[in-house]
Amino acid sequence: MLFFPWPVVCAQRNASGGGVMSDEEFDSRWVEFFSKQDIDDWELRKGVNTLIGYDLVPEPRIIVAILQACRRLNDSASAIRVLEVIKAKGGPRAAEIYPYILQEIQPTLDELGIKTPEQLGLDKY
Amino acid sequence: MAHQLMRAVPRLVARRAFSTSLARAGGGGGGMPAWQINPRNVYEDRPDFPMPNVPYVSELTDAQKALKTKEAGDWNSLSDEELKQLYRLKFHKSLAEIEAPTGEWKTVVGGTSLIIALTLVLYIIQKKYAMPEMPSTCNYEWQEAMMKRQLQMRNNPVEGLASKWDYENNKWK
Repeated sequence: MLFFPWPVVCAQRNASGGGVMSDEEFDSRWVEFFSKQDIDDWELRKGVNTLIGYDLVPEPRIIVAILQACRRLNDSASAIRVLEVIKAKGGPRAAEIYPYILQEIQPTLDELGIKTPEQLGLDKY
Repeated sequence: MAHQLMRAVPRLVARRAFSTSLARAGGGGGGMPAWQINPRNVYEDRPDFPMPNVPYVSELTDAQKALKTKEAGDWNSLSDEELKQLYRLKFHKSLAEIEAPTGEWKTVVGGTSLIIALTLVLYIIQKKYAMPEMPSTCNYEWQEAMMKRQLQMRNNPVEGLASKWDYENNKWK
């Protein structure tokens, strides 16, 4: 059993004088953002670009929400892109983190019919 | 190294938009004149900006449009090839391709070496033909004689030069 000292150093930022956000709240807010039923293309892109700017790997439930948002927007390409970038966010520990994430989101991948970049050969150059 | 510094500067300052928008002014701006193109609405592959502002291919052929309508249905019905095609419509390079080694270092090292080599050639030509003669005091015998004189007058006898000379045996200690 792999031991993950989980690198969820969540955005407990208080640079602008706001309070510290707990991990739970951070996750919930992002899930809520992506769960908006009539999310539009710009919001999806903005959300993903912002989220991957943080120094953390998003929780699987946030990723599931993103994938479902892609589904609502009929955007399979973005879903695959998101998976690629999640792997990249794992950094030097990607080999541990990415399989875990895939394992957690596999039900969603199967349900929505999203293939991973590895399955499509997009992880080669 | 110089190359990378030069590249970093526009990235920090004026953003990539200039070259991309001007380069695509003909076809990428939807026929608009270059000065009307919003620099944000260009496609760019960046590992830290995975979802660019516009899709890579925005003018679709009929076959591609048909694929797009198929995408609106169940994705399980899309084959691998179709998924890849949809990906390539939206994105130019995959993340792996963006970060792939370009071999640019060879150009940089080669170019730098070439310039240094040219400099050396110029220096040699200069030394041979343009520079005046070295002073007569710069040859070995003269230097030896100078040092002998220093030892004769016991220069720095305690801690310096003469302290290292063995006067009884006439050699260095």
